[in-house]
Amino acid sequence: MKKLLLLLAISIATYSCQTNSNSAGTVLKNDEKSEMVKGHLEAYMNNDSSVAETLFSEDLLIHDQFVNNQENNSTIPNPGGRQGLIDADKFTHVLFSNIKLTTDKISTYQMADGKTYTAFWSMWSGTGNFSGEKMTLPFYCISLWEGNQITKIWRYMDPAGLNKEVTAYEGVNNNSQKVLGLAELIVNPGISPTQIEEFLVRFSKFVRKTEPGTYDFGYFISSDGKRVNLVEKYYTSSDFVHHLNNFENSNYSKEFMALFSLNKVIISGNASDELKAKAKAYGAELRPQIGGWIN
Amino acid sequence: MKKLLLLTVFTSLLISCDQKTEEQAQMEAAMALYEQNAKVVHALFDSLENEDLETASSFFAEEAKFNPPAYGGEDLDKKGILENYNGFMQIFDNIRANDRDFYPTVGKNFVPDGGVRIYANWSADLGDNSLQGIKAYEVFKFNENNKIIEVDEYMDVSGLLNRIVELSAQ
Repeated sequence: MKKLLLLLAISIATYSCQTNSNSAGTVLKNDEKSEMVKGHLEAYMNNDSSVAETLFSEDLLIHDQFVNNQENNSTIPNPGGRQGLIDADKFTHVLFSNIKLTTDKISTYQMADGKTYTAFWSMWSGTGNFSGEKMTLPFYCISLWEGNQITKIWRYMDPAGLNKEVTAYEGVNNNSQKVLGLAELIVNPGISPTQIEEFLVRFSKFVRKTEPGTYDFGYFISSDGKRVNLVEKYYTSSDFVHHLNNFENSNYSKEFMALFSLNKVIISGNASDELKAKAKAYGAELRPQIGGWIN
Repeated sequence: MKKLLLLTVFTSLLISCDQKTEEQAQMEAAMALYEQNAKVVHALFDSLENEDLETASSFFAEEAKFNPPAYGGEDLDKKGILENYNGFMQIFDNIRANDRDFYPTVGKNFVPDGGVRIYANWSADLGDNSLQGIKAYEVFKFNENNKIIEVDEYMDVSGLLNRIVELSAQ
């Protein structure tokens, strides 16, 4: 009985010694996982994907916490899994030179529910190969581990600088997918600027609500009120085709034609065959990109 | 002899346990400080939700600094932080910091150092439109008076501004 009590006392002492938890979980000290993430960041700076090949699971899910990347309050994962990440990382080296990441804030957390996360706060920097601009970007990333591989990533950043360099890259290579609709319109006799303005308020709202791929939509009137030109921009040819179908199937097309007569229509950019076919109905001239950039 | 051996093992365990208890005490003190500061961040978020700039101001030290998430963004001092908050209060209604998830930051010895790391999913109304899914990560650092001295924020702020422009035109 005495032995049993002593054994019980030892067991209690041992158990109480091992318990050191708090609601936030445990931060692992000098752990292997943080070192693995650091190793990946260092390899990334050298445009080396060898660490990524083993660190990330093939079906890796990357959640970029962008405002336009949300559906029902959930972040839509990027396509492509691990290879998508590697391709995107390599593309940043096409866009930028001298890429650096600070690696002094990396921690791994063992949570109370058994999950293990590695987080890092960093300042990403590089010099744009096409714009020539130096860019810095506050970057936060948290990764979920399963065994010795990362299976999920959540990233918090402002992608504006990256997007700007992508635009410069597309401009230099004349390979932007963005297309523009330009037109010179004659204001029909008896139509006042006020009528045009009223129409455009409603039409703009309609376009905003129904055409997420229309990202610029401007109408400009001459001083005598007799001519209007329009500048419309679409992310892709498909977005432009969607706009034309949307326009044609709505009552706005009838109103539009009551207000204006088409004088000249130009479709600028690298139009798809579908868009080229659609352009014929408007007597549009097609002009592929030859230089500059399209924001 | 057996009893003596067992007693020695037990004593050794208790001694090692005492050492861990010191670590535990250190951890508990650190966590208590973290929890105190976490309450400050909660209260700050509550004041932003209530559009109470004066109360929000009271949580910041005079030398507070804000490292913005924006590409090309410049650091803000306390005045700039409050102007920034005020700007959002003027533009938005029904500001909410949803899904608040708080964790401690740690120092070089991996013990919580009083800082607070948070994830939040912000939402607000802009006119008749609801703006949702503004996901942010922030790190708050405090002085010994539990006043915020530094904020690092990571989020798609350009996406937020673009969304504001889009919704404003509707």
